[in-house]
Amino acid sequence: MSDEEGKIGAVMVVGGGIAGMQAALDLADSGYLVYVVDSSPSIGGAMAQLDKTFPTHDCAMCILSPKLVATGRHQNVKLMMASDIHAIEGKPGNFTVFVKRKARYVDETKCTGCGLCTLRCPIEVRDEYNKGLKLRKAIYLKYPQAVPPVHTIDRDHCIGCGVCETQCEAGAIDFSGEEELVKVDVGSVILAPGFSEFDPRLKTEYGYGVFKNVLSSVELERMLSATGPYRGMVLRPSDGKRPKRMAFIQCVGSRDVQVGNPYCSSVCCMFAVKEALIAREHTPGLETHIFFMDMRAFGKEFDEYYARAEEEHGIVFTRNTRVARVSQNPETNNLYLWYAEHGKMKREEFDIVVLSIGFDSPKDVEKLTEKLGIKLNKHDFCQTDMFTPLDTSEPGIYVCGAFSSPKDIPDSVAQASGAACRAMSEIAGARGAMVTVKEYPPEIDVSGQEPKVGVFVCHCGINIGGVLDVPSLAEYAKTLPNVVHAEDNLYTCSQDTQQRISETIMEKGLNRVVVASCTPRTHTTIFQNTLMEAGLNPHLFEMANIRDQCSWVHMNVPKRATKKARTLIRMAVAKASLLEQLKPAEVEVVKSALVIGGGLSGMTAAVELARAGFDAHLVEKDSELGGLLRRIHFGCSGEDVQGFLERLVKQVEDDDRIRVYTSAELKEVSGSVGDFAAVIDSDGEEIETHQGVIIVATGGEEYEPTEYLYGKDPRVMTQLEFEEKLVTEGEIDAKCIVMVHCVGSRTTERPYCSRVCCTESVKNALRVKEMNPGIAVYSLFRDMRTYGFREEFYREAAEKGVVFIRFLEENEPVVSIDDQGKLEVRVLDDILQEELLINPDYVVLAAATLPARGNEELARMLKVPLNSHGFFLEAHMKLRPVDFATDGIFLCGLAHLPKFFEENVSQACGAVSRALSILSQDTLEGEATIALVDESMCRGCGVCVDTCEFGAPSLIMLENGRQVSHIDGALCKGCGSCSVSCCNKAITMLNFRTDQVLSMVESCFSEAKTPPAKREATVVEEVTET
Amino acid sequence: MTDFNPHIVGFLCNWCSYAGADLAGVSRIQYPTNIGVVRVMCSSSIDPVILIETMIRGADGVLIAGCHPGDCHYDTGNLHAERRVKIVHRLLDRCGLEPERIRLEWVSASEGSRFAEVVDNLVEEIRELGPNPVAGDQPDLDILERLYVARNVLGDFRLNLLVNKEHQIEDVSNVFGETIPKERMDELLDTVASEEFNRCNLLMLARDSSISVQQMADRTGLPEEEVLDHTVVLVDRGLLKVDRVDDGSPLYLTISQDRGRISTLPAWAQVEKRSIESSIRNLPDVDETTKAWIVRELLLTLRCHNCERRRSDACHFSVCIRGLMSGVVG
Repeated sequence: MSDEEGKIGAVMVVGGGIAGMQAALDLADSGYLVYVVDSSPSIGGAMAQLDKTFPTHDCAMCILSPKLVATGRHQNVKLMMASDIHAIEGKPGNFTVFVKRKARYVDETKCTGCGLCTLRCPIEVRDEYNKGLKLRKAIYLKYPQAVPPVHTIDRDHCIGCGVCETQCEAGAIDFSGEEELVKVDVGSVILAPGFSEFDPRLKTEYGYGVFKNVLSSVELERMLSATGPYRGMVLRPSDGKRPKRMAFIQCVGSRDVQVGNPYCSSVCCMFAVKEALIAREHTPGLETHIFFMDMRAFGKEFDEYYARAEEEHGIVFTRNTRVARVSQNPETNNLYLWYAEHGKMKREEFDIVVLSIGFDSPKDVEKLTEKLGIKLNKHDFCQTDMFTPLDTSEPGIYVCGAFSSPKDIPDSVAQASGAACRAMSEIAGARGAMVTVKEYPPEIDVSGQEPKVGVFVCHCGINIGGVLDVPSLAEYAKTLPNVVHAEDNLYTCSQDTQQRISETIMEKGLNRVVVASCTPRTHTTIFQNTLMEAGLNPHLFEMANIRDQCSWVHMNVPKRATKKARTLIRMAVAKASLLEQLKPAEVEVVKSALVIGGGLSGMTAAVELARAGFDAHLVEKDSELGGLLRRIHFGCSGEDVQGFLERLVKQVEDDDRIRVYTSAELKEVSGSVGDFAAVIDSDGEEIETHQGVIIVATGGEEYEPTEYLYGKDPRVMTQLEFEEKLVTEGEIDAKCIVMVHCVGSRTTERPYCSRVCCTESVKNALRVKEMNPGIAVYSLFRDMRTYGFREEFYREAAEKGVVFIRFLEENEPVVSIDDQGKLEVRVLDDILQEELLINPDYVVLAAATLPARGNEELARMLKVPLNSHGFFLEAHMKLRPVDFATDGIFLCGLAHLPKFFEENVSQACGAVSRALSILSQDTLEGEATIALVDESMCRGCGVCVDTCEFGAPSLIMLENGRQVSHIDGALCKGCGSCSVSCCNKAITMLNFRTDQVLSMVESCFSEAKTPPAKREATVVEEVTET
Repeated sequence: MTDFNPHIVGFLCNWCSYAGADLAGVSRIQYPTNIGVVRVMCSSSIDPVILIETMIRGADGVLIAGCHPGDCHYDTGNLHAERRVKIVHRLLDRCGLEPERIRLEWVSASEGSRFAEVVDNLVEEIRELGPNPVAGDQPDLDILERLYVARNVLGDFRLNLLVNKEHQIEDVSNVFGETIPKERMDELLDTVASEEFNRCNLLMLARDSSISVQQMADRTGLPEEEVLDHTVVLVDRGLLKVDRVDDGSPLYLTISQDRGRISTLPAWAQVEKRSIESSIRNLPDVDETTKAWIVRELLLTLRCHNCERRRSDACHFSVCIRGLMSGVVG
């Protein structure tokens, strides 16, 4: 249970949103037992409510539901739903947590999620998931794809009529349920409780809750969703008509001292752009306007997205304004927006208004923190430190997601992995101690045996049985070729039926099993487990989906539905007869990681790897460690960055598990996940090494401006140079300083935002004011992107007299030298609409952050992609921010995108966490259902190589000199595209072989095409006679 | 045709569309029973050959559904699928079968109602088109023959290679770091599809007995000079040979040992076929059509003992015998 130091190999994750799930999956994959505690009846969090995600417009549910299923089904994850932390005792590595579980009144082990109970429940309640735009019942499932798929009785509304109990065939309803206190022992705790939405009623001037056509952005999101109230249509709540003009008001409950939320909520700008685009897609002819102060498009591809929204899709952006109030035309229920533009008050009419509501700290946060003893910051979010952004004030308790500061999905996911890394390195010695590896009987070899198929048809209570004639289906199945056993069950997935299946397999010598019930997406693993318990290979299993895709969608035509179910069963049996036993490829894992880049991210990664008990090889191209961090001296709150760097470098150099190569670069890489062979050139010496994983942390560099007389006049310098000057000189001899933002960023050549420079400028401006309040500081900016709590520094700077002047892209400031040799800056102030003339002593440029030189070569070597700006491109912009599509290679830090110190640390830890899910295993099991090359048929044309996004196929030379394709089983994801692309049909996609698919197609019609019975009988007789 | 109930095969990708179809169920959205669903991992894993085979087997319509562009679980699988379906449409058109019978749609995991709409809509459309002319007991043998030709075209190297390289050449870069404009690739694919279709057709014609350029031109309606061009290519590729010269014109015969492309019965099946034929030769009261039908049906019940596990060189599929129906029916 625990290691020698009494540490416990289990972690509690508080919050089951996207961050909580990611942390849980990383921990569970690395050999820790995870308890996920959430006050909601199901996991999924805020992301489950989204229709699409920016900037890629990925369908949120499409990318989320595999994670939901993975979390719900993971054998090392225990879900504790409708639960709260009651108390905690103990110390890091050994906590005892008391969890209060509310009564659900539904037995989680029995409920099948069929939903019959809700159909008959007489009580209708406003559905919170759909923001009250839809109704739900008093016994309900939070949303259709909810995990666990267990219903809950809402005790606040239930009148106790008892009808649900009469409807439940599974006998899952239990009115005697009581709140219980559960004691759980864990080694670490991760807090991921997310956020709560700002209540827009507090902004009375916008009339939310009074004017019917004023919505919150989350309500609009539900409207846009296909599962929302109007099936994706946007309708005005006042009259159900489609709107023609829609306005978004930004910063509702953000950047607002009056309502007590002075911080920026970080995501609402992009959220509004996305909603404006999708609303237009869903509503022909809709005009959308966004009213905002600064467009905070600081993430990857965000600025390009913003530009496209304006230029290509005609979204109207009204900049630099906070809408003063909203009034209503009582006759039309249309709305008037009152706002100031260039100093003049304006009024504009819209027929629907969307309030982009900000993030509040999570509900009941005080209770939670009081019980855990952790400190909150002044905004009631979790207090963290710049150097340890994943640690709370209590050792052993970690934080991730929106609770540490408002953030978007990819930042939350990266941080969640990071928190998982911190949580597991604390209890590294207890890895694997709490998880049990299930033992199965040895596998029976069925190759060469005649197929003997067993068919189990499920009634699913009355979900299937109420529509289809299930007993007749079982009888029918007995007549199909190769079927030696068929039966019907009330619930095939119930524990006792699974036991029966297992016994029947052994008794009747079944070597293929077909279950006709619900969807294979959720239930395959359950039944595969049953097969393994009976000694069969799990791939000798096939499902016929006669519920979700038959009885539920053909409820009014039971005869036809039964006929279709016969077809589906026939198809499944046909494929089952052709199934073969599959073994996944196994790779032995080299327990060591290669980290490329010795800056903050790379060093953090190396240290965390070592803490988790693995070797790290750190390759740095310079002669000393530190990278770009060597040029950063202090944080916004005066943190001593160089002192930290010194300690970090020492820690890296002193650690026996870390081997550092300086003046070194990667020469060559081959192999794949689990065992990469890398050649490192260190000071001319070539070293060959084997590594299980690779972490790319190549960092970035500061742009060397060509604008604003940089390099021509020593009084013009970059922010990093200015910071150096401030620190080394200790004082500044000047009366006036001008800072120019976006130098080399957000240009035609480099359209991305460098993310950090706004804050960097504010930081240095504050330092100047601190040294000498008499120095005038002018900051010339385009959009002030001090997102999150950094907004506070922006406000502080403004309060201390730093003058912020907005200019537009087309009116760039002009820096020149006047005839007296003084610097002269001319700028058109966008708010005053006046040209200003300033004579500063210094001009400081917020220069862009560039990707590291050499990224192209490294990308080619590792066969991973770069984006158009030269930063590395992750596997998925939303949910896999630190993974590459190629397994076993991860990225972090500036190699991914310019970002802040604390974000780099979080991401570096995140990359390590992802790497640990591989390193913690002795052997790596690949997918079993992969593509295979028949070398005798391959002509080595290489088409398959182009088709694959994961680098699985490559061309190799056989001993006889023939070139053929070879598919790396460890990299293959099993999509099957290459097998189609193969010109010689030399590639087989296992489990989806052409003959298997065709056998299903064939049997889809065979009943329909059967000739009259008489004819058939004659033929058979005649033939046997002769 | 109001009582016509179309048979539709749906190939749904595991990640988005199959989940969307499940959601239709969870939301109890009703749609017609005409569709039988085959779950595949990705829309890109559906071989164009399978689509043609599905039509040959008598599907009235086919639905292929994948993730919306940008949503693919495998990044770009759906885009590959789009190109592959496009080429199948081109070929169906040549076969005299409406391309609309095979439909590609994007259905996400949250679009349960959309999935139901798509099925509704497709069933209606197919109802209007009427039954697949090659389905049923009296198939349109011309179209069936052409479908086999189309299948052979897809089994060939040239078109397959171009379709699968299209994305790389058009959107990413060719070996010179250039991209070829979409229009040019489209034109090229059209030409190649047409040429290869005609060539496979000629190989079919010259399969059983030798035939002259003139006769081939008459049978296909192609200009003689074009047929001549094709014969030159086919002879060069080793697929066609001059069997004999008759009246001054050479007569061509398909080289039968190239078993990878042409639907001929493997030796063991020839034996089976002969034995079945001889056993029913003297059946009383059975006309020739029925006899041919009996032979076909009995052949279909046979299982290839050579290649139950893996494809032999003799045919594309382990259920190869089924791909040989035209030889029996014709």
